[in-house]
Amino acid sequence: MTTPTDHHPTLQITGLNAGYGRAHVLFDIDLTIHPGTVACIMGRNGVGKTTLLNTIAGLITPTTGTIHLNGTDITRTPPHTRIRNGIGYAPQGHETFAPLTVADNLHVAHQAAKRGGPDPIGTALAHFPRLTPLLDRRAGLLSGGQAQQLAIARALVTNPDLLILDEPTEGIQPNIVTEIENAITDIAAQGTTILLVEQYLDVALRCADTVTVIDGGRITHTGPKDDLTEEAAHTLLAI
Amino acid sequence: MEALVNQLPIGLAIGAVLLLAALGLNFTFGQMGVINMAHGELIMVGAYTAYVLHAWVGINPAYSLLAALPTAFAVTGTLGWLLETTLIRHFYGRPLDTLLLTFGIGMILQQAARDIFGAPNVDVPAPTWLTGGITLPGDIRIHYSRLFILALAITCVIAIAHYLNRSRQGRRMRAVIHNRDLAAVSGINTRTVDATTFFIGSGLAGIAGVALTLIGPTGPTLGTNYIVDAFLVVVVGGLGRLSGTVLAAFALGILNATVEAWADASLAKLIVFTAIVAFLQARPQGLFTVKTRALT
Repeated sequence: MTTPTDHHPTLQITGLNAGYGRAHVLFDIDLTIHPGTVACIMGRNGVGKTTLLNTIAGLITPTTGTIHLNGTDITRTPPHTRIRNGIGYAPQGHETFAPLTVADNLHVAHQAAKRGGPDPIGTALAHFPRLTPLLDRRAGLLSGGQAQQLAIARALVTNPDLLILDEPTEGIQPNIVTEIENAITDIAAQGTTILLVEQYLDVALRCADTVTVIDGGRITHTGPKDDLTEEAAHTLLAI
Repeated sequence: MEALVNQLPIGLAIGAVLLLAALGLNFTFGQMGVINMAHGELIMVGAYTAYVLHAWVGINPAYSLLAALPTAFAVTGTLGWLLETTLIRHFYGRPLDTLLLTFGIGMILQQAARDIFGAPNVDVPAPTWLTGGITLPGDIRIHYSRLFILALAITCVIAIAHYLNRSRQGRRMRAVIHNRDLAAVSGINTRTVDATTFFIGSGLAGIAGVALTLIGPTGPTLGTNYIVDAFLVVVVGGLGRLSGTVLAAFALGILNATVEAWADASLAKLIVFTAIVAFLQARPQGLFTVKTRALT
């Protein structure tokens, strides 16, 4: 198991190339995320943001390059090992285990990851109290906002060193977006490193410490969020 | 209506046999989506396990049945686990290739049974405590062996329901079946879960095989006689739905018994198949599905 240290970045990606068969999606990605920071990846649809997150989580095997988590090379390890090593991942589309109850969604991840705290339900509800009356409801019956909160909570109960969130505010009503934003801020304040893919610039600028922009499968900008002026955002993100 | 009532106990007895044969398929086909044509041969291996314990090991018939149930579960479960980890795993996502592969495995197992036990059928004597039966109103006689199979099927259903809903491993299995990638990025070792699922599904085939020794002779093609009906039960019940499998097994058993009361076996089979085709035209998803907000 990897452990967070001051000497290593939480995540270090070097020379990463990945794709789907002959479709080359990511080109020479270099990315470093330091402990306790919130890194936001932005970019238009189809530029490779989700492919990058899926590659970090182990769902896609890179053709070249390396991925290090807390200084340990995880490039060739299977997804479940990466979770047990300290990655928590809430994929795009508020994915949950629909036939399982909300409580079982949390328990199944907590038990499988073998690294969570003693009270996964308490951890989840502390950040997402809206789930409290829904613990016995099947996840497939939750609304989009409720399911997104459960998806993040499911990743959170594995007590990750690096929490990866893929568009957590996509298609969510404004007041729940605020709740999710607050939860991200609270989780980061407790020391968890966060890698966030976000389409909304205002959300990204409120939550993130650094912003990385991807275009055409390549990183075209990376730096502190203050560097991303409105003018630069218009140019880099085509908004 | 009176005919239906009279045939009800017989239908339940037939349904229990169908249910036992289909319970294993509910895991490998219903849950994992693997078209395992060798499932019938795993049933056959279970039946021969009971024969070996009686005829070769020499266990007293009074106890050999009870010894055969866990032994057959372990033997066929291990065989299924070996097949999954060495062969079937490499064919996931290729259903036609899987069908051909498992059909071939079934042929090999049948021939192996002929080579080891000979082509003629063999008999496994039922324990004395299962001889005889009860006579119901309408002069319908139900053998104790049929009642034992019914009790065994109900016990298996309760155990499976408990496993799937209450145990850690069962929850992991349901998670993997629902969304393999999401399960993997939740820390679940999906390969281990696949192998475990196949072990249990194959083990249940072994238990079905032992049960079948109570109602007929054991031969290399024993499982072949049940495999089509077992697939029908799982499809009619709704893929992967335990409650659907139970309901479909007993519904088909009662339908079979009712139709066979006034038609010969071939015509009865034709009528039952026609009824199933008509049902699946109207409700292709089967009796039960998981209801969610999603459109699919």
